[in-house]
Amino acid sequence: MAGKDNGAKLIAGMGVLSLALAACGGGGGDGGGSGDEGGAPKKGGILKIVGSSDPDHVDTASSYSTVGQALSRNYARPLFGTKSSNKFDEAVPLQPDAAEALPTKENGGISGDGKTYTIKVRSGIMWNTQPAREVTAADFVRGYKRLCNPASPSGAQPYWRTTIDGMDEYCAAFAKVDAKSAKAIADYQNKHEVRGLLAKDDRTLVIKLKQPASDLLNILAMQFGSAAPKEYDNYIPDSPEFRKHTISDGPYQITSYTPNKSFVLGRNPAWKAETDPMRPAYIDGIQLTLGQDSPDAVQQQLEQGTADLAWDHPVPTSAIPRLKRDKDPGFAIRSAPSSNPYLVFNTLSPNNNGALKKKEVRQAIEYAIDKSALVKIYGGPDVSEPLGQVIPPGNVGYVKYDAYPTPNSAGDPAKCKQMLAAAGYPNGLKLKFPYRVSSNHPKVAQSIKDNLAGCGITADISPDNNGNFYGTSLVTPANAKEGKWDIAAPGWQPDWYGNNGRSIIQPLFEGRSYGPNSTNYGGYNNPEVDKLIDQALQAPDQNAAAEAWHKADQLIMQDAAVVPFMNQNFTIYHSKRVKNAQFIPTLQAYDFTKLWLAS
Amino acid sequence: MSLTEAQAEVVPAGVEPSGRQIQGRSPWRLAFARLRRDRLAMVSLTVIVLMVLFALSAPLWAHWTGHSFHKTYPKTGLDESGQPAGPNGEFWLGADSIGRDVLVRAVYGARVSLMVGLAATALATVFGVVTGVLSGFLGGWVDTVLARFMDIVLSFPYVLIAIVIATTFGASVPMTIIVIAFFSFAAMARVVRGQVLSLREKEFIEAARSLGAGSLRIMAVDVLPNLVAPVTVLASLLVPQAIVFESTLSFLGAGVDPSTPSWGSMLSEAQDYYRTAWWFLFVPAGLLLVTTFAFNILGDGVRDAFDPRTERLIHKGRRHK
Repeated sequence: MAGKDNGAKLIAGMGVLSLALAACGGGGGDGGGSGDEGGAPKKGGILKIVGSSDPDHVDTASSYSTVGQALSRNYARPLFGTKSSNKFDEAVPLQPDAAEALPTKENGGISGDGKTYTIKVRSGIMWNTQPAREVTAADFVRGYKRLCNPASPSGAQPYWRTTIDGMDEYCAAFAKVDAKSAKAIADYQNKHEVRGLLAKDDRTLVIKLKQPASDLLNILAMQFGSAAPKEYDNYIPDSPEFRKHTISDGPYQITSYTPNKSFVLGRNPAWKAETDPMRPAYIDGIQLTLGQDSPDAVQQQLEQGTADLAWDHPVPTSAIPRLKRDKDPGFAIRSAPSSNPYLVFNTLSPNNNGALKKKEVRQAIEYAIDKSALVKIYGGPDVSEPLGQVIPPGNVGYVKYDAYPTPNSAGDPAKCKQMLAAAGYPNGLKLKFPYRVSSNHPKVAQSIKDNLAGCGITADISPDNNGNFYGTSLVTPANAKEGKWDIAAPGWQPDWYGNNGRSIIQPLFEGRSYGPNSTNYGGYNNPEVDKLIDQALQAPDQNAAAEAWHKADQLIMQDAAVVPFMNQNFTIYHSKRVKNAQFIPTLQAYDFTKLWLAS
Repeated sequence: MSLTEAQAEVVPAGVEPSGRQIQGRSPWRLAFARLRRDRLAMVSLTVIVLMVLFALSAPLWAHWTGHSFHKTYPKTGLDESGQPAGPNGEFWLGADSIGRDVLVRAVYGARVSLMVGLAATALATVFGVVTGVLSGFLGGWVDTVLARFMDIVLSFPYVLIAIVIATTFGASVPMTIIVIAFFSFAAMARVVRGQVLSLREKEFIEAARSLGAGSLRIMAVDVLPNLVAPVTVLASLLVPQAIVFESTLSFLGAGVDPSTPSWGSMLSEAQDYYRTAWWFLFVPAGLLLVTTFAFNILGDGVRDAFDPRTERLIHKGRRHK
């Protein structure tokens, strides 16, 4: 998903991943505290988080950023989840959340042909409605149906549409419904069924698949898979009205929200600890203060104890050597393999006479970027390493290669210039380049601008905030088609680790599902890649799938749809009073529901 | 005839008892003579001239150091962990957070900061004088409309509005100049309006009118020359304000494009590094401080020179010695 700093990978074998992670931080941490402090858990206190801007969306159907999902995890529960842990290997396996148990063939949860899943919803999980009402299997069906709503559709739709029987047809017709009418949206949702989704009774959900999908539970474990109460039918998804009326089945509820200024979460009185095996919920609430773009200003607050955690900033690069030298217990480099950031081309842009539609032009730019400089901007080799392919190490389909190698990954502007001239642009190009104002992104933008200048390309950089960047600028097809941007540097964090073959290539490069809120930001479309995605998803085993993913990776890099920059771990810091800080790699955040605050 | 002309003529070319001829001196010459005696103002003027020369010589510094202002030098400007290189033989005043030469950026930043300061002041002065003269001289509904407009502009939370304007229309040098000029012209216009309200009641204006001069001619020929002194003083004080305004906007990310060096944008980038790379903050901050201080002292000197009744404490102190 789009990361806070940002970033996705497939495993060529968990052994490879474990080795890679062990190498970069002793099983998850480096340069500081483990966050595993002992002592008895303490209840109470308000966790203070500070950061730059709003998440992309508040609605779990559409929120596709690490910060958005780290927030929604407190008030929205999917059927399954992963344990937060500073030991990466412990943070990968699935465990039941709102479901009673993980379905298996042995316990009858998965049919013999692997195409039918029967899942029991845990009893006693309550919505914070008046009066409190139990969460049912129908609420999960509603949650899944809402992913295709026409107002704020989910970027993760392809996962559901390519696995669940009937979901594709349902979504195709849903897209034609009036997006400005909450009633029209609710009517379609309530009057049309998805063949493969059935709430057999209040607690039994039956899911039928098009074909076996060994990663279905991983898909359902994303925040997109959260239940949705019937009250949500009253609002246009993720509309301002919706944001004022979120309903919680988690330990916390949003009690106050001022856009781009603050979120306040308090305890959900309807939540019962015995119904939630994943969230001990020691703290009483969360105060999230936004509007602080300077990573250093945020870092100072954390070190002084006036705030506890950073929202959308990693530790500033300037502070890393000092924190490592001082062995500051609040500092750690956590393992979260990602492609973050990377350069995406708007392949639909009409600017420069449609230059970016030409593969040869994009291939030339592949040689322009000094990746070694970008690695330094993020803190050097302790934090990141140059990347020359779509799938980063430690993920299914990863085979080390560099499609466009340059000496020391420092770029080759002369080659870029020569290739650009050969492609018909001897006088260079002028590219629109929106960048995020938070974290290291302004530095990345300026570094890339300088690299492109060496190739004769003028980059017109323009500031954007994180929420707007992921929530509007890059995910609105009209913006891409009108050429409002040419290049951008988003990030991608795998939606899950482990059996994650489809969590990079499919969301980022599947051309047939391109549309509003798609994370295939540049509208890249190659039917051959789509075929390889199908081939990988239907592969009889993980090795065959890995081969197909790798072929897709090579094809995408031949087409130069993106310029991968680096595989990055995540630098993180917590204040002294935060205890038991456990990391969630896919969200690049500590688990707010598991930590406690010392006096 | 304008007051200036009248004053020039009433200064008698007398003869001293000794028989030596006394030379007539215009108010401008008198003011300049007073300014020349103000040592602090002269030092400030020298600093400003040096700063202008520093800015004009930017390509030379780039040539001497071998570094361009926008070029990054990550191999030598950053260490392995991404920390900027300190002052050394290659980077005389150190490198910034992406390995650019701080000295070269500072000298090019001087161009941007001075240009924005001077251009915004010029623009604000032109509009301020025109608005103030029209408002004060014509009176009636024109005065009501223009004076209320000035009041509205002066009551804006200008930094907030400036950020909104700059971010809506895009950050660029011309936009920054326009934004600063817009929020600076009203102060100038109010002072000018007050002066014109007083001038228009003077006898020489009545005399001009009785001789058949039109409003436009009176404003241009009789009123404007009498505004030179207050406008010069105010303009000299507007320059440092405009430089600081530009730095504020750039610091907040609403000024010039971040890759364009200006002292404000350099300060903004340096804020994350002040604990580990002092040169990154010190260089633009020092230049900004020295320049605005020099302009302020010079502005005070100009004011004192035009109005010898105004005494600065520093002058008093010096005289008592």
